[in-house]
Amino acid sequence: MSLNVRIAWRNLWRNRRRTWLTAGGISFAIFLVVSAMSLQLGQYDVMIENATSMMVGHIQLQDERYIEERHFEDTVPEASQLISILSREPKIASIAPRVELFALASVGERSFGVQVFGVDWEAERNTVSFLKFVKTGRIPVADHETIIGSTLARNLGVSIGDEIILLGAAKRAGVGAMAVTIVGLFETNFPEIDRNMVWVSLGGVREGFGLGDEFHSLIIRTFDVSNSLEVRNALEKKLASHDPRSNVVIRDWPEIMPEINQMIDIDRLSAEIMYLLLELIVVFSVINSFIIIVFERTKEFGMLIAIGMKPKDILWLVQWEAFFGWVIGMVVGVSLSWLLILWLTRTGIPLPSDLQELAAQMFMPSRIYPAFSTEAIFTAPLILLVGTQFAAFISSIRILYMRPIEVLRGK
Amino acid sequence: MPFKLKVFRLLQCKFLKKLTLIITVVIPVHGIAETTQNAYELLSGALELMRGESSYLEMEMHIQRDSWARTSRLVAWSRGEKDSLVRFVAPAKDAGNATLKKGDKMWTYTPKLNRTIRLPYSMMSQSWAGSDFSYDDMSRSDRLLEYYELTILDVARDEGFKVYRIEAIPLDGAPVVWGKEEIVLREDYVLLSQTYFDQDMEPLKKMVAIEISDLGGRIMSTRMRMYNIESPNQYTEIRYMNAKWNQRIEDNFFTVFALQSGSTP
Repeated sequence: MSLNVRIAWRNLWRNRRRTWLTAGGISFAIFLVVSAMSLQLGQYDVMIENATSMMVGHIQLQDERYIEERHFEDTVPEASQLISILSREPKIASIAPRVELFALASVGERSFGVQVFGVDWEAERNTVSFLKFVKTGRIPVADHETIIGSTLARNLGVSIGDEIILLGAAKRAGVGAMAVTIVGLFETNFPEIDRNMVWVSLGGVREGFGLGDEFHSLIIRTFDVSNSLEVRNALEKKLASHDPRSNVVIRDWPEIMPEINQMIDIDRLSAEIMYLLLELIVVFSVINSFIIIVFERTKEFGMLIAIGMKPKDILWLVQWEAFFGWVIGMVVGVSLSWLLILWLTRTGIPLPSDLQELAAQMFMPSRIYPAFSTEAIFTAPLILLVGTQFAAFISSIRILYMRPIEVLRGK
Repeated sequence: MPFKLKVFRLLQCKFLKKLTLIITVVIPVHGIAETTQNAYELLSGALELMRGESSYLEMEMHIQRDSWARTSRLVAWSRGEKDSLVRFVAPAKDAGNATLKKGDKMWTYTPKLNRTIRLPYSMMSQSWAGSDFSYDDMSRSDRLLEYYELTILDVARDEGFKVYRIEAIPLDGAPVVWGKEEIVLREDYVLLSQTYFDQDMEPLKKMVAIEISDLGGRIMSTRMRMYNIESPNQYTEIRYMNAKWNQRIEDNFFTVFALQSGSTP
């Protein structure tokens, strides 16, 4: 066996050009797929992080009825107690309580229906990145201050310093209303949000719309988004021991925004088809070069059989040659892609400016950075290992049927 | 049995198919014209009954929900077909909140902020102050006459009164959220029920008269309950307690100024 291996290694260098061509094809495919996968998989983490941290958070807590119906009535009571219990969970980075309602935003004769978030500014700043979208003005501090979408401001004909009235139904009927002063305008890349959204202080909404120590949603940020399911389960346990009869439901981000995972799944699938095609093409070129190898070396193999080598052992010889070819290709391909990834993780690939807006809507950053991952590093090399061995095998089947005399005569 | 029903029964008989053919070809042209006129006449009669030339109403609104209930008191004035003003007088928390409708324009006044807000027309079908009634329902407007095509579906008899079932289908382009409405009306214009259907023609909410009595000299529905078909245990009831009809109301009463000042005519 070890003799066979050594012969195989030497055989490789008998025809260096052919060896490098075969290994080159393999390394090219590995380089392409590993680099592309690293870039692609790197995006998913960023997408998830961007999508969750914009407004939704990693985990949310709401009343069961509120999730379905979005009725203003269905709040979670005893807010401060609940928050203090939950914040004892060590894996939670921060918690932000929110009141959500629909109201009429009105200035003079103009009014539009808007969605209002009543928030704790400091908690929001630690939990989500939404406040970064405030492009003009500042973030509110007082209870009567507000930030609104830039399109909404244009539609209402207002700017910073102006007052708007928010009018809606208060808790348990009655009229809810508040007057707020605009101190900032936010500009996200989501037209819906810029056109329909108003953020005011939690205290202001509670006062204006008749709420007490209660909220509609708790937005929770964990230290690592990939732990959100685990943290969700821990919180659920904690909550159940605190109040077993509670109506409260805790959901992690895939439950809240299943579309993110669906988007990722679709993207992953279409990319995987591309990679598979690329790998298939390379495997075919390997089949091709092994058919030629076996053809060119027919006399050599015939002689080996004639002097007593078993055809099965020759098959193994070719298998080892293919394996070494793969090793060379793999080492070259993986190292090249590592170099590329290493370089790109520092500089990133900037998206053209006209694509940036579209990318932002899919929660993608304006610069794309790859990420090292075992999945990206191992998948392509392993598929190509199987492919190469398979290619070598089917091209060398005819060795089993070689008759040394005919072969040596050149028939 | 009314004549029309008799004809209808006859039409159902199989051996009279030929006759049916002749009758359906000849009669409906006249029939539809007559019922349409009646439907409009009936509904404007009902509106007139609830409005008069002008009206002053004192009422109680009771909102019933699973975990809470709330009763408020309101006063409402109306004049002609388009103008109305509704004001909360109790509980103290809501007192002074008022809504003015003048023509197609609407304003609401909030004493807490001391501000008057112009409401967009799209708000007309929205819930009014958290109740099951909409702004439209509260303003007793004549939108049914203006934006709908009315047909009498059938006529029944109840306690000596003819009772009409009227179907109202919104005209093309009408600013209406409903797929259709169905109104049950007594021949003396007393509104018995009104059902609102969504765009798929499924019944969504319903208003029924619970009490019919004399209100300031007019026999009308004095207690009405509006509820969602899916959750009949959650409802809003409006009970008229006092009314004055056809009193003179000055022009300057239906103005934003009067809305804010909380004045009475």
